[in-house]
Amino acid sequence: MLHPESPVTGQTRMDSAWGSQTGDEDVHAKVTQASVDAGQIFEQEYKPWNGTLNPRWMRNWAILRHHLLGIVFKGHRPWGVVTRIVLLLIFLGSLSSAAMVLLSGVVGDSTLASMWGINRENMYGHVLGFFPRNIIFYPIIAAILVGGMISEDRSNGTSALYFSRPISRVDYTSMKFLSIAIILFFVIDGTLAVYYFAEVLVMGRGWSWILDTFPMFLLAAFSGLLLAITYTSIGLALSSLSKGRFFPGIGLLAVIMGTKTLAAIIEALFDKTILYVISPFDCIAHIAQSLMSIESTYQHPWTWSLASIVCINIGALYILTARVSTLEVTRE
Amino acid sequence: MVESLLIETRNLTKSYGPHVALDDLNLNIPHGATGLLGPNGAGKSTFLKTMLGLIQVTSGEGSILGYDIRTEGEEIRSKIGYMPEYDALNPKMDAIYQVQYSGELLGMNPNIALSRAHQALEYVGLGEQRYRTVETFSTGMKQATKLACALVHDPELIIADEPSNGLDAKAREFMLQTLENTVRQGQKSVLMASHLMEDVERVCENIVLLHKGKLAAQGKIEDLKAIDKEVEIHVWGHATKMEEGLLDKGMKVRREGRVMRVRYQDDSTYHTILSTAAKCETQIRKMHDHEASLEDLFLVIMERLGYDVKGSEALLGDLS
Amino acid sequence: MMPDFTQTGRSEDAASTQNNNVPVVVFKNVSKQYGQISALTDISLAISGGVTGILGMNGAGKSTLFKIIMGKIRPSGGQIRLFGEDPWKNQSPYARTGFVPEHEKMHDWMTAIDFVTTFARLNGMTREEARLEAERVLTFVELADVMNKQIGRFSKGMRQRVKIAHALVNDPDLIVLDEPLQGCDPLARTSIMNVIRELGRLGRTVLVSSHILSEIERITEQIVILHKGRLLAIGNLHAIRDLLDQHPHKIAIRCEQPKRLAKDLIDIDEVTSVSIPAKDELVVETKHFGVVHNLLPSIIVKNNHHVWEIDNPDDNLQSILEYLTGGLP
Repeated sequence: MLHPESPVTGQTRMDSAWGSQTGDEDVHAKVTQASVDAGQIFEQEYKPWNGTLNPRWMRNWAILRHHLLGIVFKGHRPWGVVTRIVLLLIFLGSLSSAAMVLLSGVVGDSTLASMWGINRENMYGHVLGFFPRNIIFYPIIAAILVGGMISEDRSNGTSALYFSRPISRVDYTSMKFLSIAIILFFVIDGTLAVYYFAEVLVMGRGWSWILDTFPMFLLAAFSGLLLAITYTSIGLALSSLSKGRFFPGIGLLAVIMGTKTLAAIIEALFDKTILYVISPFDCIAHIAQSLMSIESTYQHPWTWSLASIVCINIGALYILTARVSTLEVTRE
Repeated sequence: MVESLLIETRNLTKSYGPHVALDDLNLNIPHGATGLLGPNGAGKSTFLKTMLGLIQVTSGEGSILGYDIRTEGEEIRSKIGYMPEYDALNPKMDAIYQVQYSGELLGMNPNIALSRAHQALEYVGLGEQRYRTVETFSTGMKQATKLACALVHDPELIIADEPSNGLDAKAREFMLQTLENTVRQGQKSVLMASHLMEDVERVCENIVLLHKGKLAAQGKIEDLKAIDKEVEIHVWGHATKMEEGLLDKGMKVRREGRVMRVRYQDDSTYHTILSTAAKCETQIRKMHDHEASLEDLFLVIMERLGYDVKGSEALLGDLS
Repeated sequence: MMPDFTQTGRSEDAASTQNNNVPVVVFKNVSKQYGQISALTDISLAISGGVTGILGMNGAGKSTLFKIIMGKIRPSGGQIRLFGEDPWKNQSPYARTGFVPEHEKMHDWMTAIDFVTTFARLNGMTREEARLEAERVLTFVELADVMNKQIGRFSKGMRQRVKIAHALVNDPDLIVLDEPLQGCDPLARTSIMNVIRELGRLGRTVLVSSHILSEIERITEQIVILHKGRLLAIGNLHAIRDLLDQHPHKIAIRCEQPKRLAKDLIDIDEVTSVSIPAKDELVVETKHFGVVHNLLPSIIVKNNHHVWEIDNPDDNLQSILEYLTGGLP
């Protein structure tokens, strides 16, 4: 058994160039003539750095900034052009309710105002209306956002960049989660806020009106938050499962639409709404309906939907953490 | 009394169920440049992960830069720069922002990270290209960028995993020169995992050789190289006569055409060679001590361990 | 290799390709123009047997030379002969030639053995023969253990060896390799160099091009140097060096008492200068390299000098190239 510290003995290989065959042969040659060339210099100087490193929250903030600022500014996470355009379009689309209010104010049409003005149903509709928001806008935005979130780090290998630094997997995941949730929140509730304040400004609503309607606004916003969080959880869980860009988005759409469709079919066939508990959208809609005292479209109690949505979120987050904890840092 | 070691492990063991990835390792790696050698499956990557504090060891202990690998992973990772083997860069980002981000992930202020990024990219020779996106880079440039990411915070130790992988001669030369410079000028320690002996030999003073999770050799390269010394000569004219002449004088000779290697006995060996040449009317165009390479050393170690290895290409090993 | 270009006239008769005296590759005053650009100008050479390195920087004309040999392009002027035949008139020389081009698409999903077998079958072998031949060549390039693995999983060096293997199908007499070591790591380089040297030892004519001097030096001493489309030198590198007698040869000797040795050496007529750059080093300059080296061992031994190292710092390709291209004599 070789003792690691003791020296080694043995023989080494030999090889030599062709042409020096026997060592005794004669050799021949012929020469002509030609011209010149030139070169370059590079000074390599190592520069040390004696700064201090900031604590954990600073690092996490860097991750969040990287993902959020990248939508607009260069030098951060490069979101694709298509993604940015779709994001912009959907954001503008979500502002349609605010636009209608503006229009009604400008035109002075009272029917327009009563149709589109702020009230409990309309705020609910802004967040949880099925068409077009929850069949097109919000699911698609969520799908696009989660697209490469985690899978890109897998395929680019940049997970090594994160985890070889003092970034824990919890930090990594939460910041990614936050960045998507914030954007979704901005699209859903940000536009809701614009809608609300458009009404206030254009219709010249006074403080008493605000006092009356603000609680509803908050409840609608809360539902929007729930929607943002849930879509993010499911989407990120899917992103952590695959290496591709498209699977998470398509998967998310499939989950959202598929569960709803299935439940709708069951309802049509058997006249039972119970299966809607598997559809994340419907659970949240149900909760919002009961919170905002809107007529329920579901037979079962809203507490079941609440329980379901909590389970869905927990399940998604579990998958997410499990997958992220196995992300590779070094090669295997 | 004892100068502090860079890395120290005692009975370090890591098993995944029945499979033992690291088997009772007792390492003493000093500051400076060390090569981590061994075939795929030898435990190199597992070892690096334990050093980075990313996986829990099964038993034993270890410290790196004085920090306990079991409990102080975060500190370790703030003081180490890691250059991974495979792609680790976002292709659509400009090099400068990628390096800046990698600094921010350590907790550097964005503007400080940016200025350090400039310096680091300048240092690795990418000063002119820093505003280009990574996807436009050649392999050599990508490797250099990864190195810049590892150097951005001026770490005490740089862990480079196959740094010259896939590089052409020019890029490889520059990478090795940069690493050497970092060790000598920057006074940094480097732990370089590689299967290219020439590269390790160039940059490192020490090596650690792992095989199947066990430690096969560790120490300074020059101490390990006590291979029988030979004097290499290139002759011209009457080579065969020369060879016979040397053999007659009791010298051990190996020959390949015009090139011969004579076993060094003592200082008189040179005289013996020259007098034989004078007698045979042979020219000795070149004569020098043949220095064994690290590759040779590796082969001998593996032979001693009982493995039939044709070359250190075995380190690229397992294609299953 | 005999660089005797007067043989070209004779080979014009459709001589039997069995003729062992016909050089394998002959160029006579070959030129190639691309519009205004002269890629090759007046190249005359004859190559036969063993390994010849074709050396030159990028743009020197190496790839043009190879394309002409491989029959991809016609020379603008001059003549070329392979095995005595004009390859544009008679394709038969190519049956005895194997090419390993610089860039070649290989099918990553095939295993090495399948790839070579398929190629062999395309060359007219039966399934059995092809398989055996594929095994033979893959063993020759030391890929026997991995011949059943997919090419896509191979390292760059191993892929190069597969390329070389398939060029060796049918045991060609002329093998042409264009930058075979490009992009290979040092280990792959060593094994490919071994293969090339072995082919030379077996008597095949091997042409290897590279722009990396140290690689060529390890492979062969017989070289052809191209520079800006012209032939600068052809032959054994030491002999070429000897011919550059306007640049005196240097001999560096490390010994215990250089001044004492210097006194003994300066008496030799052929020594033009002796200098002592370090306290244990002596550098001799001479225009008669061989003569001085002949005298050196006996002088050292007779006067009891303690010498442990002898070197020729400028007897290498680097120096030759510098002298040839670096300015006026």
